[in-house]
Amino acid sequence: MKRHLAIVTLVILALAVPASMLAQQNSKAEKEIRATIEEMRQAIIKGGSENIAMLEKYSPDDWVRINGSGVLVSKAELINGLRAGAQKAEVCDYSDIKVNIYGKWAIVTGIENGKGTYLGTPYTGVYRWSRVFMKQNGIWKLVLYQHTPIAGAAKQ
Amino acid sequence: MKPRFVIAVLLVFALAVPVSMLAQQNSKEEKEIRAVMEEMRQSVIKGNPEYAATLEKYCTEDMVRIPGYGRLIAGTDYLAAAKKGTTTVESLEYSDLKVQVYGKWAIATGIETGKGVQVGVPWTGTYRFSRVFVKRDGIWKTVLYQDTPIAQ
Repeated sequence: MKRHLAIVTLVILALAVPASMLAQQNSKAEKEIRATIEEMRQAIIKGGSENIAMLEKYSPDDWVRINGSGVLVSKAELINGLRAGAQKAEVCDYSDIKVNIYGKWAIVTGIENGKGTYLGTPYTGVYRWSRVFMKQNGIWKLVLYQHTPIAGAAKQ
Repeated sequence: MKPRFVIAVLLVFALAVPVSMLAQQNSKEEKEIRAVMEEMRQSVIKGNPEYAATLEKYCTEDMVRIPGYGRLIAGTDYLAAAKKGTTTVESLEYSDLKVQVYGKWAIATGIETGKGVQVGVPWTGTYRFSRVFVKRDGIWKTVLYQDTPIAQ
């Protein structure tokens, strides 16, 4: 009976320890991703060279960006727009951020209350966005970033 | 001179063969993903029971769905709506499909034009979509699927 109890205890421990380690790891990854998103948000508000530096650091050349008008925007187009001053965010507030971690990948969703100019076109509204990150050389890289206007949401 | 030439040729081969193998592999994965998307497209038009069965097969339980009106729908709710019949599609066409493969992950983008009801909300129009896939147990499963209306 004692032997059975010992085996059961060992099995529970063997299962519980990796699960707890994984939860800790995911919690660390989530903190890193939330910090990255906040760094991105601040760079978007600052604009210009700060935003370009952020894009260079966090976005691979083959990233997929679908803006709130449903247009595919390459990294080069966005950087050129920033250099030309055609890109400016007056307001960029995030809420309802949810992070799902899958090892070296993560899917994040949130809401943006935004106002500004995107590649020369003014925008204002509330958007649901998703960001997909892939960890490369210790950095969470943004491989996909898409916005969808929230129908019926109160605009600024 | 000759040994240097031989070494250079060997180096080129050593680099070229893995790149070529990776390209072939990605091409195979891309075909698989395009086939999954076509199977899903056909099943959504057919409706239940094919549609619900396809969703169960090709979507993860924690899938995130953001339709063109910007609501966040959990995978379980999306599947429940499909089973209940509150998601139906009259027409659905894809164009401009692009697939990027990153090992066991992939991102597909494209344009969809169609008409239907998504979790009780009618929709019609043209949307740019992205779909993120992860390969689990040999099956490409959707973990994220988002639509954005294309501004006219």
